[in-house]
Amino acid sequence: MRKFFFTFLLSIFLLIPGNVFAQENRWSGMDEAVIEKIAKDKGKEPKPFLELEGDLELFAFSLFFGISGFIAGYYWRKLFSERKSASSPL
Amino acid sequence: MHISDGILPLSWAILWGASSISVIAIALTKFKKNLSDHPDKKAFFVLITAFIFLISTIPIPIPFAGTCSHPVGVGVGVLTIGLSGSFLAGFIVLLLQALFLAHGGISTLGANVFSMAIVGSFSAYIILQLIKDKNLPLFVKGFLVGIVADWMTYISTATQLALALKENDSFLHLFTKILLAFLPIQGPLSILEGIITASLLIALAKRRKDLLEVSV
Repeated sequence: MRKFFFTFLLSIFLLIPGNVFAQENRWSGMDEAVIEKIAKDKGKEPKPFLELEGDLELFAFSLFFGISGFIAGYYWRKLFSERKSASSPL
Repeated sequence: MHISDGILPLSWAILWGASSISVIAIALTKFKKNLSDHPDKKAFFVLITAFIFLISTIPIPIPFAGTCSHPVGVGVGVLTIGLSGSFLAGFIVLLLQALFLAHGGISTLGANVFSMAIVGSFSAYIILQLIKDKNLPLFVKGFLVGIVADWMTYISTATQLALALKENDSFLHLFTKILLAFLPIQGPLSILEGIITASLLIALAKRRKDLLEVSV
């Protein structure tokens, strides 16, 4: 029952069409949609020291997601699976 | 809640930077001692830091608002590696995001660390202290910690922005405006963050109760 509830809730989050309220800049990040918009209204333009243009951003995100996913998986195995198998004979 | 470079005036960036460095320095000393007492926690710290990095970077679509946002993850940090561990994990995550992913900023790192790593973790810690001895299901405990950490991070970011950008406007007016802009996006996401925090807490409690900061 609980699993069903969570799946249902997640489905609502992910599957409802997103154009209900926002017509412009759909799926922009909140940092851009709220923080940078308010800053621009107040005359403050974001000036990033580092800008990842084009597919470089995709590359950086993929690389770091891959590395952090590997680290999380490695230590999960080390802390939980290896310990479990070490404590049970065969 | 990542404030980019150029948004905060230099004076505010320095103030938040100095405040964050002081807290992180104290946290580092305390956490080092904690690690020497419990060496097992070193691997756990790395695991949780990687997890916080993943969930605080991933853009999750919010259909109600037609935009994307991310959880903060520090609620999980407080429940698993403690307050000082969560401060440090949040700092490392935000530093990596600013240096390599153009997510946040270098000059605004102090402000971002203060809102997510420090205020987010501290509010999660306070709520945990209030509920940990209560007879509540573990899921509810995890959910409350996750949702409060998320809300407080965004309230803190709204405060930072309102203080720095208010000019002739009143602080309260700008603060409310920013908070109302956050609400339709972060409101649903904070529920998701509560569910993620609670689910991870249950998954960890089933395997290694001894590693957790919360009694189960």
